Amino acid sequence: PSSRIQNFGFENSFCILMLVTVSNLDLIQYINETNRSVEHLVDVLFKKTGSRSWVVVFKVLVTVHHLMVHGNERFIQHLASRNSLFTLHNFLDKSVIEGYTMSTFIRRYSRYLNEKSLAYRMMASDITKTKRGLDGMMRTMNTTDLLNTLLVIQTQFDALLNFNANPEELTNGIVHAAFMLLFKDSLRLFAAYNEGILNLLGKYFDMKKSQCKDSLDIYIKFLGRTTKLAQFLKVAEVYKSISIPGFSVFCIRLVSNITTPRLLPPHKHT
Amino acid sequence: MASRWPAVRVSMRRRSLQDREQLEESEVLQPAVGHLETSSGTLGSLCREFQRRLPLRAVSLNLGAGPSWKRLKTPEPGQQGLQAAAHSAKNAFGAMSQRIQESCQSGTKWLVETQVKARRRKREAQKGSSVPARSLNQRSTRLSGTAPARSTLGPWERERHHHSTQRGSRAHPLRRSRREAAFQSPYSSAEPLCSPSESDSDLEPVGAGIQHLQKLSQELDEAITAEESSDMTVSLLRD
Repeated sequence: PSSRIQNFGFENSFCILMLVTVSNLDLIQYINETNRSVEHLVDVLFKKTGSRSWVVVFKVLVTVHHLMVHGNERFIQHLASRNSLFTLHNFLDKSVIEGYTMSTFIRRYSRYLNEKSLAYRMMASDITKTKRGLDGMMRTMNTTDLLNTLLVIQTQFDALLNFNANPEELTNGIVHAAFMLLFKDSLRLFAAYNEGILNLLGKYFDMKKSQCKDSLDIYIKFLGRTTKLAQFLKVAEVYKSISIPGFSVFCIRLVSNITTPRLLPPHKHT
Repeated sequence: MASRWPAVRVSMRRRSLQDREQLEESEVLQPAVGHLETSSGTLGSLCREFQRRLPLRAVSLNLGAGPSWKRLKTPEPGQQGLQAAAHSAKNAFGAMSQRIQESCQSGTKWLVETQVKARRRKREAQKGSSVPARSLNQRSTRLSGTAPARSTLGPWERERHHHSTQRGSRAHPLRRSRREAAFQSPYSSAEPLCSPSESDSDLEPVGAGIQHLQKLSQELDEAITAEESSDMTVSLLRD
């Protein structure tokens, strides 16, 4: 069963995950090829988040994220339609030493997954899977939708960057797996964010005054988030866990592009 | 019937004045003859009173306008009636006209100053580009108004002219602000608002920033594509 599962370069952690959460089931195949109830699967997974062990809870979160990214869209659709999602904002495992640190990541990670589901609900689509380019969704959006969508992206991006892991904290396969899924999301989310900003700048001089104010605020926040993304990418580059050729070079180049001085908005005079 | 009495009284007064003059002349010539008439009766006393009053004469007001009005001497206690009134009227009018003249001068000064400042500002903005002086000069003459030759105007006309210029330049702030806005409007002159080099330099960082974001977008697309292809390669190898 582990061979059926798509691999990002960290095989061991996923094997452990599948064996622990669902006994030898290929979850991707389960969702994609059958009409089995997605709701039942989600219920099982959510039930497991009640465990006191950080290992079990963290692995459930990673499985859910993996299914949201690589699984059928029905999975994320169902999550977006649920009344309640993960309620792990108070989770704390005191039984082991690393429990304190990992519990912090569990709280942050569950919040990101909730924001990801909420963003799908608000936009009726997964922003990380939308078409990019000049004829893509973010480049062709009208002004009103663009301003609303960029706010949604900002919130999700903030939750992602809030994971805030240092290289010395990525000490086990589970947190490493979570970090790499977040890294994949960060690239796609920021690509959509960047295209939205390009569209915004192109439309700026045709906007109403109130829209111009909102746009300027969005642009200022975008600049702050690019700086934080550069730090996030530096962590990924330092860890070097992805077996993509030239990954290190890519990270360095992307970081340098992000941190190059660009057009700054005027200071507000009081 | 009652209306007849004032007219009768006036005619009586006139007659009595004429009589008095005649009596004066006759008194000079025949002082002994008038003795019996002046000493007796109320009519005589009345006549004597009338004799003491001075006759009415035409008042000539000296309203010649000068560059400054000096305060006239206060009327002597002996002077009465119309002369005193004329003097006080002259004082008040003189002070008012002096004030009007001063405000006119300051208004024109202000007008000239604003024009000079506007011209200086434009010159600084354009940095040495030639300023068509003709349009500015035309504007300045229009503002201050074509001043007619002073010698042709009488005193009353001169004061009216000063008052009108002061009113036109300063009294109405709304008209002034509109005029200023018109002069600041980009359509009021053929000169450009800013030089082409200045506008280009402002837009350069904007264009550079947008190009940078476009380049970033391309880099991200390449990275995502590479990652997806590596993912597929790994999964195919596994299968």
